[in-house]
Formats: sequence, structure tokens, C-alpha cells
Amino acid sequence: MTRTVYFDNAATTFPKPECVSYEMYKCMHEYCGNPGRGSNFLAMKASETVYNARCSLKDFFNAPSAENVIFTFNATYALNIAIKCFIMPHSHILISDIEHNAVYRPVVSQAVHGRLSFDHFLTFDGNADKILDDIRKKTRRNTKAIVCTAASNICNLRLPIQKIGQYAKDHGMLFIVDASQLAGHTAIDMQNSCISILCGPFHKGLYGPQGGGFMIVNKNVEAYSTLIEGGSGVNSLDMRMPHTLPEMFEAGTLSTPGAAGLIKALEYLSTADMNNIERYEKRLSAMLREVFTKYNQICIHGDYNDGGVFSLTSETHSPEELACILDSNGIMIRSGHHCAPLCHKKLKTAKTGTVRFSLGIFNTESDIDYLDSVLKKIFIS
Amino acid sequence: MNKCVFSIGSVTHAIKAQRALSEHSIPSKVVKTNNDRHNRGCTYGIETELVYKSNAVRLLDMYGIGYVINNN
Repeated sequence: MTRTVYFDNAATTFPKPECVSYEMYKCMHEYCGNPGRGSNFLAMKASETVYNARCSLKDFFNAPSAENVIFTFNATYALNIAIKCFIMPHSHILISDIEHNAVYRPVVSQAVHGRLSFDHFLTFDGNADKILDDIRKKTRRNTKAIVCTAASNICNLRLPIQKIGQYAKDHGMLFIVDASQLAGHTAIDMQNSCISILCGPFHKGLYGPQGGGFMIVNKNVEAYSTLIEGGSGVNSLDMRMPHTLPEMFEAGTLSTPGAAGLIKALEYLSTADMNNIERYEKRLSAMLREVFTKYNQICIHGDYNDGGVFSLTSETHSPEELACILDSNGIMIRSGHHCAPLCHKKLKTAKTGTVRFSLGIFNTESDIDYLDSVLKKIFIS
Repeated sequence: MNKCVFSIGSVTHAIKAQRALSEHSIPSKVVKTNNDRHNRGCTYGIETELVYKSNAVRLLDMYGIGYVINNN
């Protein structure tokens, strides 16, 4: 039987901690009422579970309070709400040159409809001084927000969010952060990094289930509108959405099993300790780099620091061919353009796409040794 | 007759209120009420013993949690 190795953790982490799936199963069987709707025993148990999940995220990211944690379907929905409902209409914003389409497309859509204008700031090799210089140059009198990812989903470039956040705060701008590729890989503190709105999914570095995301709004950040309207379980006779967080942005039933799984996932990460996780991933990342650099036919694109995401091309195989060969050897990676056209432009890989390897906490040194043996078969024998 | 209900709003805010009171040893439970000030429909609140009313008021004010009091 072929050994299987999972290196597609930037798409979704796998496996999940057992406690996550166990709690979701338990929830489905024992307490999956409708949260925030009725007041029967199961409805209240579900409501408590969702509230506990808000508290867990609040503690994990040092958010101001549980009600500032808004649940969405995924990070993309969260970013759409943040961009379309919190940025002052007709203002100018800055986004980075490595954004995922989860940021890029809603921003372009708003610009096409004349609701805002935007510029890209350059991320260079992640150097904070150079990035801030470029942000300074591109800031206009009506620049009201900086929206950017905390870490690329294509390469291991991470942005200096603490310094960008401080700049945004000093200039009275909102700082909206897509934490999809950083949350769970390194600690994020909303207050230290002056983050106005933090968005992310459950299912990547947080090791929670798919189908859930969050938008955490810092204190004194006001919305201009809602994006989705519907039942909220409160003020049912009012034709408008409630004006209070989190219900203002939570039309429809939330996922109680998702919340139950997330609580356990965050408990798991907290017990493992974020410092340990970061150290472990850095060690694996260094090993992975060492393996790739052994093969002359492989080119690493955008290798800037210690993060666990690598994009490669090969002289001898297209990304799809390489992905296919690796898959037949039980190694799961992702090939293509990874929904991030801006970053491909920066890395000059827009024509071909890349093969992406991304690490998670369940990867081992033995996984990397196995990859090495398969690469040897492909490129040397 | 010896109960006091604070209408609060969403279940999130009601649970927050219930836990705030609990931290100060005031027992309460989250209940669904229809007694919001503006008659806008479904509202959640917390129910506690009348004897705790003044302390509950003080704590809810301290935590910045809005409410309307309904005495049963």
C-alpha cells in the first residue's frame, strides 16, 4: 500500500485533531438545537456552544469581547463583509501586491461600481521599512483603509502586520487583515497589531471544520451597512437587521457543530502552545527547503523566511504533471494558480502556475524524507 | 411573583449578562421574552430572583449591557 503524505495544509489542514471530530459528532447527537432562536433546552445548549466559541476566538486573538466575534461561512465571506460594510463609501484604500482573490475580487468589484478606489503597495521581500515607505508614498488624503493578508498563500512571505497596523492607526485608517494563512501558525494579537477587523476561516491553521469563518471587529469600529439580511432570532417584527454585533452580520442559522469543533480545535492549539507550533513548523520548513535545494531541476519561488509554504516550478515537468506524479506516490500537494493572481505576477509565475507544498502540525520529518525519496525517483533515476 | 426579568436583546447579549451576574454569584437564567420596549418581537433576557434585582442592575450597568426590567 502506498504511503500517503499530506502537504496541502494551506488549502485546508488535514487531519484534524481527534477531539474536533469527536465533539462535532457529540454535538450532532446530543445538543444540536438551533442557536439563538428558541429557548428550549437544546436551543439554549446550542446558543451556549456558539457563545463559547466566540469566547474562545476572543481569547485566542485578544479581541475586545465575545460579541465582537461574528461568524460567517468562511474567510471570503468575512472579508466581503469587512470590505463592503465597514470601509467608508467612495474612499481610497491600499491592498498589498500578494492578495488572494478573497480580498482582490471584492475590492475590484467595489471599484468597478465606483464605491472605492485602490492602489497596491509593494511587499518586496517582506522588509517592513521598504513596505512602509511604499505605503506612505501611496497614501492619499482620502485613504481610509489598508486591507491585506498577513501571510501569502503561495509562498512563505509574511507581512509585518504590527508595523502596518500602527501606521494605519496613526493615520486614522481601518486595518483589515486576512489571517487565513497565519492564524494558527503564529500568535496574532489584535490589540498589539492595531487590527480593526480580523478575518479568517476555521479550517486552515486553526484545525477546525470547513464551512465556518470569522470576522472579529475591534472596539470603536463602526459599520456603514449590512451585506446579508434575514432572520437573526431577535426583533423579528422589525423589518431591519438588528444594529448590535454580532447579530447584525449573522442572518440565518449558524453552525453549532462548527462552533463545537472550533472550541476543541482552539483548545488543542492552546495546549500545544503557539510558540511550540511555530518552532516546529520552522524546523520542518528548513528541512523542506534543504530537500528542494538538492534538485537542480527545481526552482523555489518567493522563498523569503521561515513560513511553511513553498511554491515550486520544475524545468522538466509542468506543475500539473508534477502534482500528478506526486499524487500517484501518495503525496498530496496543490498545483495551479492558487486564487492569487497578484502574487503570481510578483513571483513571475502567472504563465505556468506553481506546485505548492504547505506544512501543518501533523507533518513529520519522516514525511519530508519520504518526499525526498520520491523526488529522487523523479529527478535523478 | 418574586422573579425579575431583564429583557436584553439577542441571546449573545443575554448569555453575556447571565455570565456577568454569575461571576458575582447572582444566579440567573436566560429566557426568551416578548417584552422589549419597542415591541419589535423576539427578545432574550435573564430571569433572576427579585431579591437580586438591585445588584443585577448595578452589574449590568457596570458591564454596559442594555436592558428593560419586567417585574413578574
